[in-house]
Amino acid sequence: MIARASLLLLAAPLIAVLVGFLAPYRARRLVAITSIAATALSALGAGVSLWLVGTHPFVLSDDPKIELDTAFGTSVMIADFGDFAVTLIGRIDLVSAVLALMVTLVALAVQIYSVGYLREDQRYVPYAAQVSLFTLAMLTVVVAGDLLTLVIGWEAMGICSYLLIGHDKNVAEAPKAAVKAFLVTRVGDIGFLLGIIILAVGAGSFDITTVLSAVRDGAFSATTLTCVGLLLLAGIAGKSAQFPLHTWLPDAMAGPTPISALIHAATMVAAGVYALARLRPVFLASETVLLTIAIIGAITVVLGALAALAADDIKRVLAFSTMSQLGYMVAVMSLSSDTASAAALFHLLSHAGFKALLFLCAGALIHAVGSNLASEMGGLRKTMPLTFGATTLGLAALAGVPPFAGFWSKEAIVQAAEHAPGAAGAIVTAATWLAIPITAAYVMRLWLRVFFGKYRGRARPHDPPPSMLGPIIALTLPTVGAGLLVLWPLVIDRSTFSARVNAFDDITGLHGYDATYPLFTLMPSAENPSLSPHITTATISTILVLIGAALAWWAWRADRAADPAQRLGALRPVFAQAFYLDELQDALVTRPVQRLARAARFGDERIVDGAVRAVGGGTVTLGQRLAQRHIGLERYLTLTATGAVLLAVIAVVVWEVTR
Amino acid sequence: MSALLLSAALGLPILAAILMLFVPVRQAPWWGLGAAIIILAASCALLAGREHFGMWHEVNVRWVSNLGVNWHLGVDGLSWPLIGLTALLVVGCAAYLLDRPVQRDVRQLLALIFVLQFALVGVFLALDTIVFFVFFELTLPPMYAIIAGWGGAKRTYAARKFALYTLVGSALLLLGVVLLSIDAGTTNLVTLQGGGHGSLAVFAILAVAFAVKSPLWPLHTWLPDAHTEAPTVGSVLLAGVLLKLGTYGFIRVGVGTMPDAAADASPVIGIFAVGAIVIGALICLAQTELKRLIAYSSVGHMGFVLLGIAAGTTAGLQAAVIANVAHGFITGLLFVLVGIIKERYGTGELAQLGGIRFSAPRLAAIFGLATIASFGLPGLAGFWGEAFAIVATVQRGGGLWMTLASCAAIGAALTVAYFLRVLRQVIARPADAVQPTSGWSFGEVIAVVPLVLGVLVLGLWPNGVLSLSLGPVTQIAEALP
Amino acid sequence: MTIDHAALAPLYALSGAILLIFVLDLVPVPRIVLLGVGFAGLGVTAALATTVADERRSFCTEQLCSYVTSRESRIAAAALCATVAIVLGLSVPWLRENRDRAAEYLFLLLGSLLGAICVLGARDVLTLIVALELLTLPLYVLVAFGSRGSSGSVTFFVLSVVSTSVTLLGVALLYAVSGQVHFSALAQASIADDAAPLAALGAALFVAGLAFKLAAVPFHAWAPTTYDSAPIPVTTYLATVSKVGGLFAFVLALNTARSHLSSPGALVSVIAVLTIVIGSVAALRQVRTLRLLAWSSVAQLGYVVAPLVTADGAQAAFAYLAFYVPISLVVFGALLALRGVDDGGTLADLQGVARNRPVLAAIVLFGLLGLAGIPPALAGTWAKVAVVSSLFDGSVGWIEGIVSAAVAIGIVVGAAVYLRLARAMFVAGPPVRRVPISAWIWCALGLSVIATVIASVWPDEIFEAATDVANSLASQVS
Repeated sequence: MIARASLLLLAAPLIAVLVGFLAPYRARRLVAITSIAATALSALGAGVSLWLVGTHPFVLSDDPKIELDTAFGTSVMIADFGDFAVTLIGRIDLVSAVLALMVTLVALAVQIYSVGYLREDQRYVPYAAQVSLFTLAMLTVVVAGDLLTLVIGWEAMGICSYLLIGHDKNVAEAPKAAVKAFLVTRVGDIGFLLGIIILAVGAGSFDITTVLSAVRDGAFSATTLTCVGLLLLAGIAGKSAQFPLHTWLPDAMAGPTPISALIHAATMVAAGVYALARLRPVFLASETVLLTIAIIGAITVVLGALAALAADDIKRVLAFSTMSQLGYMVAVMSLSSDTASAAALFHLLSHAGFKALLFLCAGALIHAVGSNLASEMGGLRKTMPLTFGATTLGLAALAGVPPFAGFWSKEAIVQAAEHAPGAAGAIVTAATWLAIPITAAYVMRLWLRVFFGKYRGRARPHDPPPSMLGPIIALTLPTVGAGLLVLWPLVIDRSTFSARVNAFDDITGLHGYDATYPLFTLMPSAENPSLSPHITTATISTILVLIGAALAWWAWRADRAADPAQRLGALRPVFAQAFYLDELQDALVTRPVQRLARAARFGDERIVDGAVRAVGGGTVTLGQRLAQRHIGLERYLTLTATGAVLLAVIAVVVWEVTR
Repeated sequence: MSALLLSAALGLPILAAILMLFVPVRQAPWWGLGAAIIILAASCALLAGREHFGMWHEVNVRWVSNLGVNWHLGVDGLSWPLIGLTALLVVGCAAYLLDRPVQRDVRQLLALIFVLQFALVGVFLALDTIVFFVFFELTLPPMYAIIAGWGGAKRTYAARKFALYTLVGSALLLLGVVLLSIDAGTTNLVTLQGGGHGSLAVFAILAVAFAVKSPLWPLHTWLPDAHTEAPTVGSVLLAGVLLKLGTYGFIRVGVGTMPDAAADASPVIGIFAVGAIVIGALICLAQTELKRLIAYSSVGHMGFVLLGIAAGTTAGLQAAVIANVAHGFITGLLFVLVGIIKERYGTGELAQLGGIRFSAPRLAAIFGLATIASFGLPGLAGFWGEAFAIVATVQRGGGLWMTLASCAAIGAALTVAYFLRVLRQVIARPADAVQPTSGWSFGEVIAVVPLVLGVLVLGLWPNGVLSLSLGPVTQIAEALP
Repeated sequence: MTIDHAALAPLYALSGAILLIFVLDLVPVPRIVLLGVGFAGLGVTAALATTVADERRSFCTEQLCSYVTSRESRIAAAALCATVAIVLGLSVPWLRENRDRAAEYLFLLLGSLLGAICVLGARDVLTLIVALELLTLPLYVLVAFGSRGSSGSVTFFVLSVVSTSVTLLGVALLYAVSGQVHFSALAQASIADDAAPLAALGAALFVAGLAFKLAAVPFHAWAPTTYDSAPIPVTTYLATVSKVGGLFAFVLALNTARSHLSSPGALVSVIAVLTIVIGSVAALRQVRTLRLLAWSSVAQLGYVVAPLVTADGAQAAFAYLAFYVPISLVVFGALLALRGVDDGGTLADLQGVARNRPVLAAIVLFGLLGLAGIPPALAGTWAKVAVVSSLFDGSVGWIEGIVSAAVAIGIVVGAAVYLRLARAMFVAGPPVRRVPISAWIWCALGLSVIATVIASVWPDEIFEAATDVANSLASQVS
């Protein structure tokens, strides 16, 4: 049953991909219908899977049927390398089902929204196909039961992001941004691939279950696991835009806005966090890795928030906020507490909702105003009331205002950090408390600049057409209601659920690492009480939000046309340029590589090939000289006589020597 | 039956070459295409009676008693994929020549292509060291003639460099196979397999011989010139099959017959292979001409093949096999596309090209596909060989091999970098000046479609090739210490 | 002193033909009659040579004989007759134009062949040297037959004198220390310790001087000028028949000298390496086709000498030469067909040949591939394989290593040389006047091509004959 649902989940977007790539460019309508229908079917598949996973009464203990029920995939071996056989495996559990549902729903919203958003675009057809492929790739990552399937989806997403970011031919920097997005993430992927290969070689298989069992059984030394952890982390940092591989994310704004929604909410960046959860036992095996994760996450949280504080482009503000929010998720994964991954994934889900909403709203704003810059907006609450309402909800959720989604999930993170032992916990807690008021400040700044004061643009703004408005309104639901997830245990039978957790742990052999892995719990229960908000921390964070918002309002109030960020003074350009890390990356990596490339070419042409040509030329010259020595009878005679004498000498000398 | 099948696979190209000289010029490409398809069918017929281990078909007749040479041909899972690849690429070449103006008599060009095919198939079928050498050498004259006769502006220089440089390899191959055969007392590659004969010196001679052909950095500089100047069909066959003679020889004659020496030499080969990957990628980053760039990309890709061979595990050799075939498809496709681009836009300079995405979206899409397949995107043909070359390197373990694996992975990232640069320049960058001169012709479609399908099918189902080669590869790998 | 007339029968037949031509020249007879006598003489000689099966000895004193014919040397004689027949066929159009010199030409050519056949059977140094001179002397005149032949003739003559004197000095020294002239006796002669260096020197000079016939370095300098100025049929003869006679002499001398040289391999390796390298490298920039081919034949004879560094390399040497002869006939014959008898011309003169004379161009190409040792002209490939095999048969020391490296270098440089020649034909040129080519030439050329193809596909017979020849020569000195 699961297999059939998952077939629907994957096959539907695959068909959309094929149709989209093979259809002629003018077949807009056909492709639009196919894409939307396919994504909807896929979402249906995800929903059914979730329902099945959540309610199906699994037989416990030693019945192999459980494995069969949750795992699906090709029984055909697609590649037999002798030492390794590659069979693509998919596996659906609670986590993947939930994520798949999230991915397909956001993708559905994006597909519907795009029909309106790209009304004028000649290249809608390949665009829609690429979005379907993007969705399919992310779904592949989500349901991957083996590391190679994971990598296939992982890299396919990279190429999709490349294609879609570079889609808009009117944006001059789009091609560069596209290349940067793919390349920076790919640099991280070197590590990811190497890490996976070391794991697979050690375990003798690419099957995640086998690999994780091998990790548990001590097939790897501590050093190896530290290395593997750090290598995998590189890939995750690339995909999830974590410091220092985050530089692509703000530039990726060059892509069409719906694509930003897709990348920031459902795909790409979510993949990193998901992989972190999926392979959690590997990371938990090394303190060094955990600490590194904590530091990277914490830096990203603060860095993103500060950069968002000064950016003028509303999409850049949202992009930096994504970085910051992803920082939370990654940072909390460094904690060894039981609820850590649950909290991270909870935030991932709620963030997906409100960030998709925010980007679609930003698209509506940009569509209406004709500019990305907040300095050309202002006072839009009157002309675009519906967009204003939706954006307000999204921003409130982002800032963590109760009772919107962000509040609950951020509280879960705070709780997890509070209760975590060791340095990692302290780092994450500090970063969280520091970032909450900053987040509120930039959210407030954005809100005020866009919707209040006087309109500073030229075009006549209006609310978007229904095809764009529909998805926006639909996405306000999770933004407001995602907090209800914490009430979910009321829906399903608690005892069945716990039993299934244990049953799955028996199969995957994950006892002793993380009681909740891989079926992280989204619910407060006897096993993990700390996901629900605690009154003290909730109060503190709400106060911090208010302080941040108030500061921003105070800065804005003096001059309603000016950017409140000017109050930052000398720090503003530093923040706006995201601490000049782009320039640093350019100086430390890009330009040295280019110089090296030029040197390699020079060396190859002048030295390596030069030697070859010198040998050729030298032989020819030698031939010419030799031939010139052979002109004229006198020369012949001298040559011949000398030669004869020489031979005689050689004969005698050799005779003497070898006697 | 075996003899008949083998003779058909080997003999039909020669018949086709002769036929080409007598058909009317105007219809020659059609005849060529027909002949190529029949040869492809004959090659596929070899699949009948395939086995997991050992030869599917074998012929062994005494030929030159005094040199101990036997007319010993056979096909197994190691050689068939390359024979099939050759046949398919020849079909592509013949199709590409349909309704295409060629400077000189197209019949001669087709005849040369078939002669080349004969020689290539001969190398892959040869099970006698001297016969192997003979066919290996026989590939030189037709390829030289194709470059010198139908090439670009600097064709004479490029063709001469190609012929003489690779002849150095052939001369060393002659020394190597003779030394090996005399030491073993037999020229039979089947009996030689598994080792016990030859020394490290003999292996070194053979390794250099094959390294020139593969080509392995720093013995590669004939390649960019040859590729740049060769006509499209020449580049396709050169990159698609000719380079594989080196790597195939490495596996069949080098590692296969001298496992101990191969194991001793493997770190050196590994280091050079990784050097080829990294340096090839760096050079590509600084290249400004499309054809030359793709030529250099072959250096890097063949580096992965050699890395797999150097690692010497079953997975490594399997990776080499699949990377060989994949590179044939992908680079063949790339060269066809570059040929089309150069023809339509009149230039191959990156700085002058641009905006193909807007002026010719289908061409851009397929070029993009070939490119991303070339840098090894998972799920496309290029991925398996490169990833598993690294897997095999990691399998070897230890500081050196782990370093090599890391450097190879970095090289793979650089590969992405330069291909993205190409895409950005050629496909994406808005261009104003250059506009295409024509659309797709029928021949172009026939040439491109099988290659695209090959790239996709091999990417999603590499076992099509791997299951064939597993048996022989396992036997070779097991002999390695 | 016994004289075995059966052994000498082929010589008698050939001498008879020569005399008949000499006589017929006194009375005016049609040229066709002279040619008929010439071909008939060659045919009868070859037939006589092949019909007598077992070993024949002549001019014997006790055990030692001065002239021995074995079955193998007679097969070689027959092959030489066939080669000369082809050379003669190539000469026919020229003879037609130079009617008055036809008899002279035939007389000299067959006289030289007589010398070559004598060399095959010579078993003492004096017979050998006389036979060699008989082989060489007519050539001085034949070379001069070309319109530009005088300089070549003089060069050839002067250098020949030098090298013969070297040989004679060597012979004299050997005779002085051993008192023997027969090869077998010389080889087995016990030399007093204090005379040993003298014997070594003598042996070295004896061998070295005979390198002249092979145009091996350092006695190669005559080749370019002589080849270029002689009529092409004579050049062809120089490149083939003369070389076969020379190799027999060289191998006989070397077999004899081995016991007196402490390291014969070293001496031969010097000659071989220098010959291969200098020959191929100097050929690189040649502009005149025949000079280029002359240098290339120097290099080719280097490959012939190369296997002789090992004690039992003679069979590879003979095999190489046996493959080389038909290939040379093809190349020189096709060049003659293209350019006429008198002047090989320059590479630039070959422009447009591929377009105007595609069949001839293909034949030249085939021959050049053979010289380069590249398939499909497998004859050349087998030759190279045989040389390398022979070098590596047995323990491989540094001498074999160096020589094989030289072979490898020579293969590559040689390919560059032949490539240049081949390429010249494919350069587009002005449409040239198509000179009609005589049926005689087509016939000779066709036979050469067929011989090369047979040698390519069924090389075993050649290998066996070469082995037999080498063995019989080796047995002469044991």
